Amino acid sequence: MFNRESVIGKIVYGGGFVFDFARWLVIFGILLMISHYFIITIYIVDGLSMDPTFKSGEVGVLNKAVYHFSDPERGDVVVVKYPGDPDKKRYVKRVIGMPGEKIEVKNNLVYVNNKALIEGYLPKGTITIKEGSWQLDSDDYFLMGDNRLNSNDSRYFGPVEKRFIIGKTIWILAPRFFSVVTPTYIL
Amino acid sequence: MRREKVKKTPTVDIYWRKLAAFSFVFIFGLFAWRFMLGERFSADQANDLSGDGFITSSQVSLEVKNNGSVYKDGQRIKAKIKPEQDFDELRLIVYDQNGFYLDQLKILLKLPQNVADDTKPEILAIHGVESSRAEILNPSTIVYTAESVGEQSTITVVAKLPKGVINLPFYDQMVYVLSTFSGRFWLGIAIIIPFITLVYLLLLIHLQQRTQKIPTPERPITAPPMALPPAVVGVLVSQDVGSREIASTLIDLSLRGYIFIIDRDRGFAFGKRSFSGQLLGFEKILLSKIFRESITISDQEVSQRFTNHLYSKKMSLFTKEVYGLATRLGYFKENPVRMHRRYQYIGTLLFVFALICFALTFKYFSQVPYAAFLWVGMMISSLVVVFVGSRMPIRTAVGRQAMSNWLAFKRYLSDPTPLPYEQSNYRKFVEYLPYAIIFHCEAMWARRFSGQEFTLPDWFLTEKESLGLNDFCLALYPIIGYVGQNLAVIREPEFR
Repeated sequence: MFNRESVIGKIVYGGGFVFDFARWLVIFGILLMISHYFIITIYIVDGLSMDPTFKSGEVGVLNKAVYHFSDPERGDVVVVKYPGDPDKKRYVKRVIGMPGEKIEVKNNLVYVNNKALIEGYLPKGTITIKEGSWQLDSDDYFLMGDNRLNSNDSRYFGPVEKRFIIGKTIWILAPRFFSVVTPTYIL
Repeated sequence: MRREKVKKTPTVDIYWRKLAAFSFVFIFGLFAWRFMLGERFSADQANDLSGDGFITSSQVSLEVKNNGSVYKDGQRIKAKIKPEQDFDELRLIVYDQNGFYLDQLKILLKLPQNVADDTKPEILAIHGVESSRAEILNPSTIVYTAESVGEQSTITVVAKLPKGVINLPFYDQMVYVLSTFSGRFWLGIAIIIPFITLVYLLLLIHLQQRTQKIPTPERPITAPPMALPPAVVGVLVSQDVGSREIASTLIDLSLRGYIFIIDRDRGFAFGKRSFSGQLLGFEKILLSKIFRESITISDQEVSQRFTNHLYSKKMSLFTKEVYGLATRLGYFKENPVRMHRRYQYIGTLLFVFALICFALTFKYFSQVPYAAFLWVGMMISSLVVVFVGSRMPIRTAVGRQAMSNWLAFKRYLSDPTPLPYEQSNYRKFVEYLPYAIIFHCEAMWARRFSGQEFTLPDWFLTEKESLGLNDFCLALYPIIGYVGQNLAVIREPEFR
């Protein structure tokens, strides 16, 4: 027979358990989403264009809040919306050229305002192909992958406006663990 | 009598709540990890040109209309013009890994007015395109050309049109205006909304308090104005049943000889005497929650009684009974439980609505992600409604008068003047202690007896010798506080 008291009791006590944990779940979910969209998140590096700095399959930590308070710096490893498909494609690249600068790729080197950029993080003997010259606007950044022979970057799709830059990679978590430090350049 | 030590069989015990909590953290931690890892950000590599397919050329005709709609070869397509600060932008993928090689791809873009000279065209061609360019063909047409387009190529055309050329629909304009507000603006909204809700509710409470003014007692009353159980006095004063109402009931039951408290070096225990006397319904429920069959119950057993269930039906009933009694005495216009529940429902509905909008913002308003903070603000507001709204005064004239009398008694309890050392005052300390706990002035009440000799009440058993008043308070208050607090939190949510 249907026992109303017993059924309600079970729902309340069973449901009470669900309710109590659901409450924490909701709070947890909201904080997670806020963190993921605005503050910090993790992602997987997919592809070889940042090799050997980042290997394909590595898990990176992305600081999304940093560029609300400051501008990207030369050498930052950023995640950017590909301007050709900003809704779907995200690329991991390094900031090479800053707004207003003139970037040239020639003789296996990158020149910033006619001065050669010394990039210590690149393996010795790295060849930088796809020669060309780009004048950056006041909101443009020139991005390149560290794997210069095998990177689809600003050399191919041009400078990227700041609005497309999502955040800065600050750590690689796994399988290697290290902090991603912005290099210093002498220009 | 010598107590024989009973060797217990070692058992492996599982605390179900803890197990559930850790499982919860683990499972959702895993989900969170997977959720965040859902994004693969490509370290995109360049593809070689491969001309394995047949060589041909193709031409695409695009047209942008005045209202921002886009047509491809005469047919309307989903593409939209997006407003930006200095221009209106068309950004359209025209070739995306179509799987065949093109010798040349030409895209003609017809603009709604003769503004080609003021339009900034761009072509983004990756993955095996030999060359690409954008040129102005005539005052209203831009031509984009890509040569040697590979099978895996992706080509996107961009046109940054001057403002005023396109009459965007109201919805798009609104979304654009909202997207211009900074993250700080939305964060400010998230703070302001709960603040306004809080101020509004406090104002309402203040106005209600003004219309339902409680007569200020002229002078202290030296004895309880009427014989009311302390828990009911607590409801009258705070419109709420909390840990203090439970703690004071326990002391009241001790005073009346139904239970006794044993203070041990490590821990405590409760003991029961005869329950044959006149007990009120809620007192019976509280005793049945603490005791089972044995005469005494140790602190470990009491703790286990807290953790047996996530929610205690008995403690919910205890609360309901106390509210019911106070309402039957005519102190409230309606049962405070109903009033609390009303605000709980309003708050919960508001919270669920805000939660849904919060999730939808990320899915459908990706241009305005910071608007999610608006909904966070609304969620916090809903919590404010639940916690502050339920403080709305609902006392009747009888209730207000009774409360005034009890406040006069509170003045006596919290008076800083020490009481003279007299036989008549001697018993008052423990006698009025439950009420002092209700009025949050148990420390002040004890201070009134400082310097006086103290004899332990017979319901407080301890092995310690020559326990003074301070030692008694230091031993009793934590026990009562601990039990009251734990019994209060295991009530079902609607009775909290």
